[in-house]
Amino acid sequence: MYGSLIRKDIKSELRRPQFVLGVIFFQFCLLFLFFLFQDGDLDSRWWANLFWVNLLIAAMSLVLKNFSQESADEYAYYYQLTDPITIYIAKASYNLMLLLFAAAINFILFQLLFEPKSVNHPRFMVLLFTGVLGMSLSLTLVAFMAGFARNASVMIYILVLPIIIPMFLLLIRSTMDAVDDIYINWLGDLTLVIGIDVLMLAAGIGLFPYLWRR
Amino acid sequence: MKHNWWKILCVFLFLYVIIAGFLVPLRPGIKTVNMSTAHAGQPLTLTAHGYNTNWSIESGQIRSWLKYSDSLVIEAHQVHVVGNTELTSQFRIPSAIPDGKEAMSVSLIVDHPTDGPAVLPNALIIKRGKKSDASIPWPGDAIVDLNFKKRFAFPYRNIIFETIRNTYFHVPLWMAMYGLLVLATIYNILYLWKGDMWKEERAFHLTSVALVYGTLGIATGMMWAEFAWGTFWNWDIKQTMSLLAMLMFVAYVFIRFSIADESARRRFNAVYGIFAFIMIFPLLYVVPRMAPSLHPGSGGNPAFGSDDMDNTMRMVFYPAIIAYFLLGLWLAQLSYRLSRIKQILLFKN
Repeated sequence: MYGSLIRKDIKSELRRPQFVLGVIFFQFCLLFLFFLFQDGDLDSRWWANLFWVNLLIAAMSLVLKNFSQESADEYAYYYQLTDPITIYIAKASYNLMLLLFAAAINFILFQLLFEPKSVNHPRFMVLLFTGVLGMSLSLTLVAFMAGFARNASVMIYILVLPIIIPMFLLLIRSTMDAVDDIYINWLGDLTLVIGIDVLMLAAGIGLFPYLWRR
Repeated sequence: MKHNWWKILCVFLFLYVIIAGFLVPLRPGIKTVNMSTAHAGQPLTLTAHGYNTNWSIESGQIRSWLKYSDSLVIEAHQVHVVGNTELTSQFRIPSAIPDGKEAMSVSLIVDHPTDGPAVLPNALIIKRGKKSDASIPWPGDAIVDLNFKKRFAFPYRNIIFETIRNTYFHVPLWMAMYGLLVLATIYNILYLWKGDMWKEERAFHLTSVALVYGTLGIATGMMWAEFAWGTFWNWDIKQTMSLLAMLMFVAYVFIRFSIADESARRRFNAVYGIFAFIMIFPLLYVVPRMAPSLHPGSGGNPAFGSDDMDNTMRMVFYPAIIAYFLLGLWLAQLSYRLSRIKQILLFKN
């Protein structure tokens, strides 16, 4: 069931790739703007901040679009087909893949545009994965709500930002350390981020069935 | 009347908290001394300025000490009272500094027969003196027979002074806010479980009152910060995180006004309310501990309330929590009833 739901999402995304390409283009434009201003020279603080904020903006558009492209009839069809927890996990895994793709693009753009940093890659990848996991779990829950609002694109900012900022503070701080390759309590920060991920997963599994109910 | 006893209790407790919180005096204390360093092995004349003290009354019985530890105490051989809030004491500082250190920090203690003892912690630093000074041994003084008086007064604390009264406003407001949020979450869960829309309506009004309380909590905290930290807002991690927590509940209120479909809106509100309630704990209790902070209870600082509160303060502090909580319930109830009447009228037309 998970497989077919995810495959369906991937197929419908590939059928109309303009949107994902548009988001990548947007990421590139934003970073290019910074490149022109900063002359390709970013310190680790700016590097970490810009990396995550850029990724967050792209992620919000990607996830919101994934929900808003489906009609109420489609939801009714899913509702007959399977239980909401399956749908939540399938959607969250699909969003995880999508966001990992966006993160990879983001990382490549950073390496191309800004002078390569002495990034501690394994550590950075672990941080990236936990961060993207938390983003996909919370965004899946919240984008579904925001999709119902009249002003969905504004609503998603209002709903997501307060929830995700504490995780982002931890992520940006430990990304800074990973970029400088220094060790200041990064395992503590990582544990906290994973803790927030688990909290979000539990909240998602517990609460999504109630959102889904018609 | 039988069902409204808690409203009467709320009014009484609230008046009690306001009156007691503002009118009960502080205990006498020592504000400043006229110097910050002294040299070992030399005589010292120290002028202390008191707060709420009555030193001119029974001035003959005032004693004062400089205390390094429980066993190392220097008693003043002469105490001269200048005025109600000013006194001069003369000490002979011993020439040896214990533990082979370069300097030691001592506290000043002044005992008055009716006021009771007053303490200035770390009043001054005594540095190692010159070798040529006469050798004065440590006296065998001890602090005895302090005139502890039982009286209804708040403790005197040196950095916060009179703003210690904010303990009855800033802290209980947050606690009452948590109480209201717990109640709102219970109503939210009941709504999701049983589907009674009025439960969700109650939860919404409870959360709105909690939002007002949180905003007031931030405002009172800012006033306290202005006094104790020197600025209203310095982006302390605790301030930032509580601002974020408030933003979360602003987002909760936003949902109500931006989703047209009523049943979807109620479900979303309930779900987001529960989610926000869960996220408060990492926001306010996990993340602030990880960063340096001036706020008590985070960044390694001890929480206010365990050591800093005495029994007199507890007599106002606990009623304050109950009073604000009941007041919040009352406000939420009124606003809930108003909204319910409006919705029923709308439905009938």
